[in-house]
Amino acid sequence: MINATHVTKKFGDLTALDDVGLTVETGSIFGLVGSNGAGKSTFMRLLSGVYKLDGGSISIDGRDIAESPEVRKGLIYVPDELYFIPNSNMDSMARLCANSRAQFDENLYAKLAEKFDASRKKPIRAMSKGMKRQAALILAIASKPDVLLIDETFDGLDVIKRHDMREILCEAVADRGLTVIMATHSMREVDDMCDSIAMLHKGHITLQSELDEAKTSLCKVQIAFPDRFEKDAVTFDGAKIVDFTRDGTVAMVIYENGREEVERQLRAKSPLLINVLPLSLEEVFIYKNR
Amino acid sequence: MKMKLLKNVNKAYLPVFKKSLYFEGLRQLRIGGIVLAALVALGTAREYLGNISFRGEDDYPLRYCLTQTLPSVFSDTAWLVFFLCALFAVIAAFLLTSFTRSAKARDFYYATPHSSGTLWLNFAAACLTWTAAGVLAFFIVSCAFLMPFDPKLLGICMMIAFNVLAAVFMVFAMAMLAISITGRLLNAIVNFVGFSVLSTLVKIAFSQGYNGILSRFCFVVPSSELCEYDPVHHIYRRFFFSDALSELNESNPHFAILASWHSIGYCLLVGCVMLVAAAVFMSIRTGDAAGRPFVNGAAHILSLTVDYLLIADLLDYLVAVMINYISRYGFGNLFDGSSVIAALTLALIVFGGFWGMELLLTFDVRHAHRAFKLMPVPVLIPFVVMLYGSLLYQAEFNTVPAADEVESFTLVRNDTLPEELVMFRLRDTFGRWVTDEADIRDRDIIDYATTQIRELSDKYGHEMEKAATASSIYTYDSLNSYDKSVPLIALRLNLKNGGHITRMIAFDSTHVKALQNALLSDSAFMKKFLTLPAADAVNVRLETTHGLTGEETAAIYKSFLEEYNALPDEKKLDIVRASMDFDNYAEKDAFDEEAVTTAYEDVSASDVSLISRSKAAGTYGIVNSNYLAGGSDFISIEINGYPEGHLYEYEKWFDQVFTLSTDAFPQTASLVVRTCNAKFDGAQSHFKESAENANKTDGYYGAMDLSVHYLDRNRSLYVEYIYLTGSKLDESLLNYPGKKAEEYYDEEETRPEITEIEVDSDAMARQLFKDIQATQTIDFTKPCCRVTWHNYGVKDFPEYMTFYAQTDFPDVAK
Repeated sequence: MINATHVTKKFGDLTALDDVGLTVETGSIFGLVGSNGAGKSTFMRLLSGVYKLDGGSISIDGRDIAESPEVRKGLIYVPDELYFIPNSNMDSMARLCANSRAQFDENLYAKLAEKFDASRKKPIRAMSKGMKRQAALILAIASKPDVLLIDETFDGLDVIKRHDMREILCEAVADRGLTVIMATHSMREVDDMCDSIAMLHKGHITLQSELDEAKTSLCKVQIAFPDRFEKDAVTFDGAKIVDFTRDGTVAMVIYENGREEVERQLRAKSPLLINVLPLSLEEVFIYKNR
Repeated sequence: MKMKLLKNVNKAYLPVFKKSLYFEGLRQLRIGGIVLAALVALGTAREYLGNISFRGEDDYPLRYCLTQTLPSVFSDTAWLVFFLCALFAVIAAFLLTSFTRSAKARDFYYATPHSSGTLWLNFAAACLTWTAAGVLAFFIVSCAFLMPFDPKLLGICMMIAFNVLAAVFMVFAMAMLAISITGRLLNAIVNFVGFSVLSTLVKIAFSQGYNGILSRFCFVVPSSELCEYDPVHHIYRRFFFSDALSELNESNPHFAILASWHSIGYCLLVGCVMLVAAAVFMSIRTGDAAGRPFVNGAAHILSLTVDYLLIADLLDYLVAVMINYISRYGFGNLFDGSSVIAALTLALIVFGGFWGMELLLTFDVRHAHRAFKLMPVPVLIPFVVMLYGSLLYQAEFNTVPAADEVESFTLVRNDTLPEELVMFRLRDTFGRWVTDEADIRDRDIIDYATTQIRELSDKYGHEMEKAATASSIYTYDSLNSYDKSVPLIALRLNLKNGGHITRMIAFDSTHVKALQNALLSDSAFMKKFLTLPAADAVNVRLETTHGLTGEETAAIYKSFLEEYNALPDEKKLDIVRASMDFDNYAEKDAFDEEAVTTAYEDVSASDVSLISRSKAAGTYGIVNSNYLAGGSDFISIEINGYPEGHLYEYEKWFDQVFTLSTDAFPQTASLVVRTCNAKFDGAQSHFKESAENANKTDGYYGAMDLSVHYLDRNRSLYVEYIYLTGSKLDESLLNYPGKKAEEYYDEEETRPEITEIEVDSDAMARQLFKDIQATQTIDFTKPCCRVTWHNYGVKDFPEYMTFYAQTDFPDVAK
């Protein structure tokens, strides 16, 4: 289990992360979503030991990552901007991975490269953005990590490869308890893959929950009354209205309340129409961080 | 601060050697390393082959080619190997430590389960391994060339390899330290240059102390020895690899093989200190530092300020030389105060600009006011140092000791002494060695020296614009004030209170003689002066001059040594004086002093490469060579050696030329004549053959170029440089026919066309060939002809040979 408590990171006068706390269960896929500059990459770098914490602590299976570089033994970080040795190809990068991580699996690497039809001898500098991302993911997975941190997970991959890669990751999670933390802007990726998510906004966690819980943490209601009405017509005791838009006698209201409660309270107001609609993760993100 | 630094070091983050990372480093550098080794191997082979092929044009044997050119081969190759390896080491260091600067590389490497210190250590080891492979390539190629020739030479190759490796190690350590304290490429490069200069300062601090350091930053301050006055020399020494390979670049390249254990020790020491410092910095370093100038802003500014000062120290001379070059000024003008200040100011502006830019970047434009507050500090520091130095200089220069405050004096930098006036014929290297321990207490000279110093002080002490450098006073201004023929002598006055004052002052001829006598009365000087290197230290190699073999010259030296050692000290001194003091030449009656001096130079043209060749043989470099002339009293023997076993202390050695009078050395003189006569027989036949071949060619500049020295001192004749060229001997090619030597040298400045004396050159040449053809024994008590054969056409003989012909030339003097 990865446990981050009171994590703080500053760059000069800028506080990139402020008192952030997170828990990621072993063998799960965790999505870290957030707006630009929210602190996702910073958090990933803190997790991977690239950055030094200014406050708080991060532990992996109970061991503080600051304790020793060895704590990061089973951890792989695939950053947004990928690093390859100048003029290298996949094979030479595989040797670098093998030399820097004992658990690198040459056979798995060969198998994945074949599966993805990757050009092992082709200079990486000549590869497209998607191919580079694919190469980095193959190398990362072949390193057989216990924890895989991926920034902008499938950025540049085509649909098929994205699908295949997703499958492989899910297999690894299921087969050997791999923990994946993916930082992304793509709500679809998170929606498709993650068991739980956290939303970061301006250095603060705005939401951390299971994926389904996240989706139901808000309630979207389409409601109509015979006459024009204002916001207070849909307000009730304990109502937390996140958003209210009205068009004529029909309004769309986002509540940060439970669905049953909202439905019960609103029906008591005898509306002409009431529809409780599902929210996409993207909508949740937008309304949570607006 | 120190405790805080140590506290930050988590033991788990200390550098650890990991085989896999080390091999990864080796792998990443393999192409560069192989290219380096290949370049070094090719470069080394080229040096050997180039010399062989150059010599091979004259069909010289390999053995000869190597002995002839080894010192320069070693010198050039050592520099090549050093340059290539140092360049590789620095570039490799920057490449493998990209994780300290590049965000992408940082994200990769810092996320591995290795600390930055461990990554750094293993990659550094990989860099050094490939660098060592480059040096090894030099050694292997040298082995391939030299092993068949003389395995002893490998010892010297190994020494050079060690020296180069140590030097490269130091340069590499500088690069690593520079990299470890910053996260930016430009900063790292600037730091690297700064550390390079710093290493020089460390050396000065050890050797010259505070005053030396101060004079470095502010060169108006005389150092504890003397201020340097040669800007090129200054730059050379200041630049980082001058310290790394100082012993290789000093003096004559012939002595380049004389690497120094001191140099190796210094490089290793400084390198290790820097690497340890780098390891500490890397151990506490986190990924945050990549792309940032320094661990923190204040430290960055501090490091930049130090770099700035260090680089300004280097740059001022570069700018000064540029000004000199552009303006075509002489050195005297170059060191005019205004030029120096202009140069330094320019340097300050250039680096001040860089410093200011970094300051702004570091503190952010929003906080520029902080930067501006700090800006005057680095700009003012050099000026403050200069001002302080000027004041110190004034005070020091105006310190004139009274004669009775001076206990004694020693000679320093006696290479500035005109050898024939002060030290008989001591060459500078021998002079340094022989006067090392001489402590002169002659009151007359002490009085004279203090008076001279007072005069200098009175004249220049308060004219700072003329005294921009101490050296300008000591040298150029002094020269302007004194007769240029008067020698400038550097003395260190040892004061009774334990202090020392070093000054270079002009000596008139009376006091030069007094100094000479004072030296002769010093026991330490005399002991060194009169003691010859032991016979068992002699290892004579293939001797080129006269074609004598090593065994022959060794036998001659052994004979000479026996006879010399049997003499009492008084007699030895007489012989030394007779050999070296021109007043005592037997020919004094026949020639005036100047003419004899020149004649002597001609006869005893020393072959300095002999010593280096002997050194190349890997043992003590005592070589003797023999110069024969028109009389038995002109046979001389030159001895070079390292009597105290200073195999690599090339700056000081025994170097003496003795005249072999038949009275004092009958056995040796006889041996020389016998040996040489036997040689001349062979030489003559070669000469004849070549001359005949040359006669078959057309044109004036065929295969031969013969100069004839016709020596008949009894009749005051001196004929030199009769060029017999090809078959068409032409009178117009007869440059300087015989004249009375005195007249000839009196007119040296305006050498006349040869019209005054008719010479039948054809007749002379015919007679010469005839006499050479007829094998005969030379009688050196009678007029003979010394023939020197230059360069062309003689197989199996070195580039020139000298032999003698007893001939009956036309009496050209009449």
